[in-house]
Amino acid sequence: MNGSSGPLLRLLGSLKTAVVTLTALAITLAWGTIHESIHGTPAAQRDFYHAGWFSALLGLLAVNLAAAALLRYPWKRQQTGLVVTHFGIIILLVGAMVGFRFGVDGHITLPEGASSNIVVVDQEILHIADPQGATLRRIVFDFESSPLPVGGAHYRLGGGLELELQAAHTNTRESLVVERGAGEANPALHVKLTSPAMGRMAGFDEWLLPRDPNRSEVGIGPAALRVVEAKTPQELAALTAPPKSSEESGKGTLSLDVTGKHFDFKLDDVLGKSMPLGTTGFTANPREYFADFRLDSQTKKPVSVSDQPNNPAVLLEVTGPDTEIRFFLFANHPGMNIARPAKGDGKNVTPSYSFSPAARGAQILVVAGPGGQLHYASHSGKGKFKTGELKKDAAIETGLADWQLQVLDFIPDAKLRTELQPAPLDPNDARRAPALRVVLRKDALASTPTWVRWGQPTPLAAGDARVTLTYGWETQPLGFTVKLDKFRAKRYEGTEMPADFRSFITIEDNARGVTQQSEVWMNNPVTYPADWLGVRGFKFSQSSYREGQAGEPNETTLGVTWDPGWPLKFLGFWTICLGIFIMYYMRTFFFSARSPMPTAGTKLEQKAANKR
Amino acid sequence: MKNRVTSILIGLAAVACTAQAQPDFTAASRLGIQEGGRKKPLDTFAREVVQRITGKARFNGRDPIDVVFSLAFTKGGTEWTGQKIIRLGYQPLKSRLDLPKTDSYFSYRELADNPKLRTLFDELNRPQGAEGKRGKAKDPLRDEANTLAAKLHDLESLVDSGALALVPHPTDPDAAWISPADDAKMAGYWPKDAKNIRDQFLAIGKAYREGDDAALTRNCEAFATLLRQLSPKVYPDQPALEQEITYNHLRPFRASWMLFLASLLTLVTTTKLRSPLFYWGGVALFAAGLGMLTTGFVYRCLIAGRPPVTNMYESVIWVAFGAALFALVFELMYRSRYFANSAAGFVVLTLILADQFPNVLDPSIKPLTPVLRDNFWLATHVLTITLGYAAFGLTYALGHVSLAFHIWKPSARPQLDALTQYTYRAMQVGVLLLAAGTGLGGLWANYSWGRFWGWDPKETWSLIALLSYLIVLHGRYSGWLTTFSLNVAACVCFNTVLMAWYGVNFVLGTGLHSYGFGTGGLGYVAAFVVADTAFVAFAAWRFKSAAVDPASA
Repeated sequence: MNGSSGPLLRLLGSLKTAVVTLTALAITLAWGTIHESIHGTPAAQRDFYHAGWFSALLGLLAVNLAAAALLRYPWKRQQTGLVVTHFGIIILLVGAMVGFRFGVDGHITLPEGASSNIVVVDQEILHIADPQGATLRRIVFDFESSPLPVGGAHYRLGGGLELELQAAHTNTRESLVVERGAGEANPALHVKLTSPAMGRMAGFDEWLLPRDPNRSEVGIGPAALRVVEAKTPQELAALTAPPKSSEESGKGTLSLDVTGKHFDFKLDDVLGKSMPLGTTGFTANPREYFADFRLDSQTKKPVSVSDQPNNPAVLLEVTGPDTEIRFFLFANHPGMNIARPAKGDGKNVTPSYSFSPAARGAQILVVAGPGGQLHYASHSGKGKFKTGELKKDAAIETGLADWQLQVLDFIPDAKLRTELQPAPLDPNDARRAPALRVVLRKDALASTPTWVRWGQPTPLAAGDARVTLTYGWETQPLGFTVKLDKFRAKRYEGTEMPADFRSFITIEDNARGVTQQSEVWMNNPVTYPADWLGVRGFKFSQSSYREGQAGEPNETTLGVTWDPGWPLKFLGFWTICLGIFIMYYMRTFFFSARSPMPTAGTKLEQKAANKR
Repeated sequence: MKNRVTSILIGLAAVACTAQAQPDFTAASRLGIQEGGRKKPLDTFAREVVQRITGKARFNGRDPIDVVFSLAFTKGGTEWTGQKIIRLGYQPLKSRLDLPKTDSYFSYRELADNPKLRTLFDELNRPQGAEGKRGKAKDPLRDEANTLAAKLHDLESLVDSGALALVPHPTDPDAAWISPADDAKMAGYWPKDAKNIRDQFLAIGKAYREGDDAALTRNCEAFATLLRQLSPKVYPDQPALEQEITYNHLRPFRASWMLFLASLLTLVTTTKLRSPLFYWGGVALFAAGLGMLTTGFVYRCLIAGRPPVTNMYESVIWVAFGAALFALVFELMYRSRYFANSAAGFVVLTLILADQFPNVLDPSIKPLTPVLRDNFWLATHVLTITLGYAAFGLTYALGHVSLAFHIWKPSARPQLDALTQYTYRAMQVGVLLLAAGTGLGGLWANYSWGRFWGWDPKETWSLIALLSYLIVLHGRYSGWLTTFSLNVAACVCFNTVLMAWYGVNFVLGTGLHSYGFGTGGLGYVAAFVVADTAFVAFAAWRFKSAAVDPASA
């Protein structure tokens, strides 16, 4: 042994340190696997395997191994095995570190026919670019292991610009914010429904808007709650009137006021017919009825999405002297009635369409009356009816099961806007919408706090400084394009058990002028660009897949890795095996004297002999 | 075959009398059937399904094919729904269903009519709501309830013959086989021959009901011949079916542990006898046991077309094989007897475990998940690492023999020194193989998953096992571990191997090696570990008190 070696080196390379380090590592790892079994893999990676102290422990092991080998320099023949094994482990650890530090570990997900030239790395970044698209800064986040500090974080972007990160949410949703003071009538009602029998989860507690067909109604089991607006006392009276037995079916009532005369028709009787309106010289022609009116989002044509009178509407034509008008009349939303005069101004004709709530089965109506008062009408659907005035905050029995109704707030002139709000993660929904709230500052100027939503490039300005922020997965360029031609999964005979699934890909590399077709399947990765050491190229390995239902394309996910530490790992592994083999089974070759105990150390032999 | 003449002579009158005798199912066992993603003889199918439902190889001592046929062919006349045939031993599930705790067999009617069972199925398999906590990776009640549901389904599909997928597709070897009782599918597969096939199938049923052995054999043979003729490309070859039947009947692993037990008894009881005859006799029995084990392996390889190390059952047997192999090599090197008898003890224990607990260690041959479908890596990584377990198993057995000497014969110095050296030798083999096997796993992972090492629980625990033995080797090298404590360590460290081998798959239940996961046996394993630790502690206490007492030094 080297007599000049310092006491520190001797301590680091001592067997005592070795045993302590190995024991600490074994206990740590055992604890780590139990942690993983309870808290899941990400937690274990965060708290153990990717933690700084864990790397330090492995580093200590490497130092210990190296010191133990160096202490024995100059090496004797019989120490070959020990030295080889120790250096093998060090090479392996170095390889692991190189791979962890510099390697790429990501994936690409492609539907059939799609291609990609980037690889997605499982790391969140905020990319900040100037108006020319040049990167100002890339900020890597890992909120799971290092959450945003209270009070936010600040990042310098250069040129006197500073970005303040105020909040980060793993999931958000747009929610409606209702404020007073729109300056014009636009009723909004904050409605709460509770049912002691159904429990807390079944309840409802939100803003409803009579003028917004998408936000005026909520289903409660087989029944519905609707909020409606009554602009006149007549409308209010009609909406809160008890049902007449004759109205319990049919398509509602059409009313017309023409030149001071009033006409009522049951739509059932007049639909598709030309009706002369007395002696006025006008003719009404109700052309079409829509039980559940919706404007088709693609064709922009009116359609009825069901036979249920959920949103009854009628298309009416009125012709007369110098008059030709088309009306769209809505029973639930009289405020939205549309008049399209082709001839004349249409002021001489006032049509309305009403539909008795009783015809629509069980429902509760909350009516915002013309004077700012609230009323309700409850139709049980079995002939029972209840109506009355509604006071703010006072809970009433609706008469439908044990549902209780409460109007928490009523704003006649609501100003509406949407705002992002944090939302809990839904385990059944893989989609999530993370967002960051940021403020851009330059000198004394600051932008308004702005949400940067996942995957949505967001412009931001402070004074004359402009930047674009993009929040999403970190990506890396491949330098070539990978296209998924097709994906096929083979099953074991007569079962749904997958036997083999493979992606047929085309790699197009314009820089090298290469186009190659390859198949990737389990245990058969493809490396491109290929070289014999496997150092240079990206490795594509089959990871997971999703088979398209009903004609949708299949989708594949390929793991994409680049590991510069791989040759070291490979070399290290085989060196370890060789070292152990030499140590145990080539003693006669390296060390001619055969000891009675196969414990290599001469020191031990002497110690043991002394003891005896 | 013997019965054929008799039954012809006696004719129909004899039906009542011969009904008691075990009918001849030789021809029936050779029918090909498709199940669980592969083609197999009806013999295997019947054994597996009866084992699954009843938890026994033979229900009421009847041939498994007899049970299958009686369910499929005599449903109208018998009280099969009332027959207590379904095994249910899991107490928490029984109490959830208000079933008597003392019973372990229940009838289909008792279970299917149980209103609580249906609610339980719905409840357990409902996806976790937004409010619910993340579903537990392992929920024994859910697993047991699902197993019970599978048993009920197995039984139903036997009764309506749906499970009897005896009829192949005309040309496509990957297509599902169908039941001859399924008229709609039959018409689709065999527009012309459907009636012919069906009649032949019904004739088997008739012959079975009438107890007519000759007709049963004749009709089964005719049925197989017909289908082989109609679909020659898909129907399995006769030799392949017979090979599997031979394996089923041979039960090589049972024969093997009996040979090892004989070897163990021979070697232990003749220790004092000078004649080498007994020693070599014992070693020969040991070698015969190993030969029988090898035969079983070769059969499984031929049947499955892959190395037999893909589930817990196969790995237990492979570890027994490895321990026996190493012990035989060392025995021939050292001629000491200890290698052979300690290994024989270990092997008998593990093989009995594999042979006697089919409900935990499933012996059926199943298709592989795609990630394991690579014979090169299966053979290198899995065989190497399990051979490492085997070497540590041998170390463990030798450690116990050594501790036993320390307890009961502390004065036998030469034996003790020799045993300790053997333990050390076996541990070296284990360290080399476990290191190599773990690293090969990394190479395979790098190849298949794209990364060398990812701290997956299985990876981590094999590293922990390796580390624990390295601690022992370094402790020994430094002189801290005495002869005695080396043996203690050999016993204690095996617990880390058990964890890497059994614990990760059956207890932790997380990670990428999910294809090897299973349930059951935890109570037995835990009891075993506790008992063993108690033994080691007892030995340590004895050793310590002996060391203090100068008289025994």
